[in-house]
Amino acid sequence: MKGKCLWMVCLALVFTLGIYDLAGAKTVLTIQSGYPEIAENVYKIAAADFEKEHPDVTVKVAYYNLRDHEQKLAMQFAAGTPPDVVETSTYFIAKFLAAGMLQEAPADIVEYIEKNVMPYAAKFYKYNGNIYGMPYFIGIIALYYNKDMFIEAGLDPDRPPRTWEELIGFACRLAKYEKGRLARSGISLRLSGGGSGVAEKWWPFLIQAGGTILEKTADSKYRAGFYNQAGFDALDLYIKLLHLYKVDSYEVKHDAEAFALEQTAMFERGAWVTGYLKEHNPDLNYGIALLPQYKQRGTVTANFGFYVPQAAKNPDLAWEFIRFLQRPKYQLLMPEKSGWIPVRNDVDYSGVLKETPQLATFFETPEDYVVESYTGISPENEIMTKLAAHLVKAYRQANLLDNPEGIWKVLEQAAAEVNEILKREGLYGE
Amino acid sequence: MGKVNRTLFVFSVVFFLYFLFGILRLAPILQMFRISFYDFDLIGLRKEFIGFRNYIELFHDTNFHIALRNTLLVVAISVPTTVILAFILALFYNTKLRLRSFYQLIYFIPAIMPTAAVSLIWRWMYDPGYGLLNYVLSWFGIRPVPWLVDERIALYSVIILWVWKWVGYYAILFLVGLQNIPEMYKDAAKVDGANWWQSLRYVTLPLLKPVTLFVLIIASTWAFRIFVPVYILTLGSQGAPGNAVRVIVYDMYENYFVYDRVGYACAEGFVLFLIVALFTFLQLKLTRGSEAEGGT
Amino acid sequence: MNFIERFKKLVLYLLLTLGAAFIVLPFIWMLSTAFKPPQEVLSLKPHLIPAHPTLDNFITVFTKAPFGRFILNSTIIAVLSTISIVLTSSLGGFVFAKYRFIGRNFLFWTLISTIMIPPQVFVFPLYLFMRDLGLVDTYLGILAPSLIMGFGLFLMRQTISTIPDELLDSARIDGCSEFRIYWNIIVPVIKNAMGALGIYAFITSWGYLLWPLIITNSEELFTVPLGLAVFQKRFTVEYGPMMAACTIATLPLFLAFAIFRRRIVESFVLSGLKG
Repeated sequence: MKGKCLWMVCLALVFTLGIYDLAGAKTVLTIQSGYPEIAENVYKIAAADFEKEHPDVTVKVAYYNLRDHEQKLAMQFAAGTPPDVVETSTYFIAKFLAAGMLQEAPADIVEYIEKNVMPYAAKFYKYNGNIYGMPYFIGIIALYYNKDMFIEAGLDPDRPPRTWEELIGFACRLAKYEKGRLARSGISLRLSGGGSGVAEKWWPFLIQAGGTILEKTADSKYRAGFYNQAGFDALDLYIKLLHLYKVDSYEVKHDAEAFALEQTAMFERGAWVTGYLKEHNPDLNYGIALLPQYKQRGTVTANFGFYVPQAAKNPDLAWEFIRFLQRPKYQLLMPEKSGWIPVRNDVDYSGVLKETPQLATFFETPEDYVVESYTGISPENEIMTKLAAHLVKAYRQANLLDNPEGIWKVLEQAAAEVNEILKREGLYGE
Repeated sequence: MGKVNRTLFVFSVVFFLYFLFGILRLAPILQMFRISFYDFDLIGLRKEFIGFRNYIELFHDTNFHIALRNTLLVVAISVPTTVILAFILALFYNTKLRLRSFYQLIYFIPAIMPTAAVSLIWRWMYDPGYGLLNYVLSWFGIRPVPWLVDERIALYSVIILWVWKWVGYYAILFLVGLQNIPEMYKDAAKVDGANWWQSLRYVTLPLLKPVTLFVLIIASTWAFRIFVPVYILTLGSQGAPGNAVRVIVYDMYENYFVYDRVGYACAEGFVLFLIVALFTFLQLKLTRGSEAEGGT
Repeated sequence: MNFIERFKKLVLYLLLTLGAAFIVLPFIWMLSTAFKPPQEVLSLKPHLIPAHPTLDNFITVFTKAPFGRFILNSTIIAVLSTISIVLTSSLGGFVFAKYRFIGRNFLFWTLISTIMIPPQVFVFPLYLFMRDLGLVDTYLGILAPSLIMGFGLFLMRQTISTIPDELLDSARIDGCSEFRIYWNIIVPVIKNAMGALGIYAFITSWGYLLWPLIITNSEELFTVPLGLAVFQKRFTVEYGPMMAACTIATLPLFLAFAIFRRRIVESFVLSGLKG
């Protein structure tokens, strides 16, 4: 019976492979990351060095793109099979923190954080008075600008715009038109795309106008913080830039790609772009500046670090490896290879800065510079995504120009939806 | 003796099938159905039984309405387009014309390419400023089309991708069906004086009914379940706005993984299932009297 | 008549070729990008022929990650999955098409209804189940959901139902066992449909991302789509290496199609019926 034999052979093969055990006799430490550029250039190297110092340990570095990483983490936490070391943002970890699924940091690490980590990053790792993770890098938004284009437009390449007025003025001079259409945008705004990106990129402008997305209320609850003059000014700015000054449009390329292709003169993003530019346009003459101000100066940051889950198989080893990653060698590899900014304030970064002087801006945090980050409440992602949908629609409407009622309406609807979501989750306050 | 043999055979096959399907599909699906009655999040912070509240909220959810509309559009446009084109292709494949195997291979290529990669390539090709499509259009003096960024066009961009991907595969399915039609029927028709079109209409098409029905059901089910192209085409700053291309599975994915509203997402999944089942049932009903129901 | 015939043929070929060009364009684009250096990848005017063709992307693919291993994994899983799917579907299709028994329709459509549920939804309960069986991070774990396919069952049953019963009855009179009937009569007759199913099963197995993502933790077990995802960075895509990886990834699929195509297209069913 040829068929049955074939079937048997297949089944046998399947079962043998199933039982195939990949781990050897050594202890296996697992770390999982959502940033391949960091995992490849920093964690893998650290893992190899760690293995040399601990010959009975194998360190497995697993990395995925961010979306997949977060999807997988959600499943792993839910099923009780998380990795030993989790690299993720304070934003994503919030709900797991609230569910008590993370280990408290050992005392020496708490002390270390207080002494050696930049305070505006460290504050996000406290929960109910305890510290739960180790901050490692941040993603803070700054202004990228093309110096050659500045010179061409008769602007001083070392004098980036400092106020909204200057921003608009510079953008107008930097925008280029060909046959009546925009060929090079003066400033590249985030206008489209699914997910929460559009709202995240609007947020800094909102801060500069004096507002915020989620306002904390007296009883530790939240409500929409943009149904006010600040929201109006921020949305109005976009509408004007798009439909009045026409310094950006839907037909040109956007974002880092556009900047690398020299299709835009300015845009706002995090430090990782420096790594991207080194690869795709190493000769680009650009500068990085703090974001321009309106009623105040400010920006948005995201905080990333390591956590050890309660269900980790090797918790002590996990904290050991986290300590290991604090060594200056790896702190320097971060900005050098991946462009992400580490949070230790006592390491000498001059080597890195010599090679990429623009990165210096990311280490600056003047007193009056408001640095906001995510609140960490559970529906935050949903709120951001739904706000983004409203914004995407609004940006397209040229009829919002000189139409204050129209703009207020958009803000009203968006704020209403945000507040509805907050109410649904029992987080709404007055 | 033969009877016992037969019963044993049938029983063991059905049992074996149900064993596998049960563990790998049915049980998880029943779980999904159960969860849809709860306010559930992935890590167990919330596990409240709320009865039909998810379904009621779904009924009022504007995002779901948008998703439903978009999904129906995708099905309504892509299915007839793909199936008709595939059928025409298959007619060509079934001839003795030269180069037919070459064309079979070429048209099949999209089906072989991984959907995620294909979606990335298309996203790039759809780029308003520097994508390949607008570049080719510019040769004819046509203004750049905002394939993804314009809400009115974005969904059609998805549909084009979908038709592109599957037309070659459905054509092969039709070909299999065409080849199963004995030549003698067509010869008999010729003898009776039928021309090509009449032969097609009165001999081939009726005999092809089971296959046609099959392709229609599969094409519509897959179209209802479309996800990866939508997911990839909305990524990034040049991506389509979420609501323009929101389809049901994308909405489900967002609710499940991004908003962590697992119970709600499961309710959505179940509603999708009902819609597809209804649609399939209608398709079957409309072609009653064919060999679709078992053939014996 | 000759001229009209010729003209019709010409128009036909013209349309087909235009269609083919449209179909193949993204593929050509993928190949072209695979050979471009990063600066050219992001260029303003899309051009098909790379100005400075390079093999760097292909080298990156194999050095950044053990891509060869990924291909091996994907191939093993896909082959096993295809065999299992074709066998279970054809056996099942045979039983549901050619045998009468109580509840046959209900049982059949229940199984088929599983096609109508998008996989994202039942991934989580299945994961928990696999975890309890200790199959997390194993080959069997990755393979399990791909052992069966509702679509396959449907296709096989539709195809087999067009086979005349007389063929089976005569075999039974000759004293054949049921399995023999399946193996020696049904299978040869539906070879082309099995081929069509086989190629679809193979391609689908290759394309799975969500399930292998969740069930594996070790890089050694990654399948090709997981490996590809490495080139999708936080906010950008490394197009050069990714297209190179895709090119490499599609090669086994081409091979599979080339093998299956003969079965699908060239085998003639009639030989079975005429006898």
